[in-house]
Amino acid sequence: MTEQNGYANPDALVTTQWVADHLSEGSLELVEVDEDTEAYERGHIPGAVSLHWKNELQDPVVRDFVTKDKFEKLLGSKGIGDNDTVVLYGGNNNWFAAYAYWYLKVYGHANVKLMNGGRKKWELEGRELTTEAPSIKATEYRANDADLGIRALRDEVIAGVGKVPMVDVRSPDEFSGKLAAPAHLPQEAAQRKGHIPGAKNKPWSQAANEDGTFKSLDELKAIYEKELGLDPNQETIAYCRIGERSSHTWFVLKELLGHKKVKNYDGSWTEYGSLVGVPIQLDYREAQ
Amino acid sequence: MSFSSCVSPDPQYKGETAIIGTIKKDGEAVAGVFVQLLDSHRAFVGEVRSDKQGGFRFFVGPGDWRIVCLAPGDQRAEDQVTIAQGEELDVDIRF
Repeated sequence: MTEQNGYANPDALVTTQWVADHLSEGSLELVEVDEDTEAYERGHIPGAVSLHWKNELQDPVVRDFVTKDKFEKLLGSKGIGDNDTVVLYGGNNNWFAAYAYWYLKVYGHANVKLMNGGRKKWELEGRELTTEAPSIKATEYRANDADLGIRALRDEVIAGVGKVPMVDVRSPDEFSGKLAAPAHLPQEAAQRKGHIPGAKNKPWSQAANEDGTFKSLDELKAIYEKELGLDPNQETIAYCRIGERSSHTWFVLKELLGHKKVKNYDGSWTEYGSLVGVPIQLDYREAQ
Repeated sequence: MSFSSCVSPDPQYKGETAIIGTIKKDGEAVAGVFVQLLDSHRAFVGEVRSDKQGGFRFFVGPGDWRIVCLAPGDQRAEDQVTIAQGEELDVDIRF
């Protein structure tokens, strides 16, 4: 069944059991999107196709989405139809699956869902994985023009400094400027460390339980509305380092809490922190 | 489960600050375990899977970290480690 936890858009989330019960439905397209791009080859949910967040969703030359035309060819090659129900799942608490969810929404795919808990919950429950390639029948997919109502670009972010509420969903050490990237990854990133002045820090992972599922509606409201003071009717911009962790928070604010004007800034810190002349707040100072 | 840890320098990663570990059950390596790295505030930082030898590695900054291991059948292990700059900390985990 879909999640019935009082979330604003319960249709955006399905349980692992729901996926198991609907695997054989022809109009259901299961798509795995992982940070670990080799995970799919080691075993995936039966029938699932894979989507490579970098090689397939990023333009190989310009730092941007692939064009609408390429996106249509990509989804068509995966056997996904315009009206299909796409269920996304992946590792790391649906880290990159949430990015793909937001990405598909930008291009207007109407019926997209996340499998709550992602690959981790599926595996911890001892459910079936296979290395068998799915049978794919290519389609003539048609996308909408990109919806910039949910995507923040550089100039909008710069203009919004000090005016538009922003949530920096990186770790506290990245926010303060102590680190340039997540602690477990190589420290490659922007030219400068720190955060956008006025942004509030709330690591994306605080929206997730240990098994990768999302926290309850009350817990999420306590974090984002009471603690951070975000207004459901006011514009909010979420960002991180390259835009994937902030997609997870975008999903929470938009689909679970029902905030109306939430944008994901996928240029994020690797773009903002390399711009010339923009204001930066640096809290961390090396010991002298 | 139990944890024990010792310092085990690895020339390949000389100078890196890293937590490396091996997960075993009944003396056998356990592959595919979900290994989570949490910071000192218990905030999730990252997650990897143990390899065929039951091994995992996190590059971290100096300080306090928690390692949480999850596997099917409600198997769970957790412990805290403290690591210094440039140290390679070897952690043995047993379900």
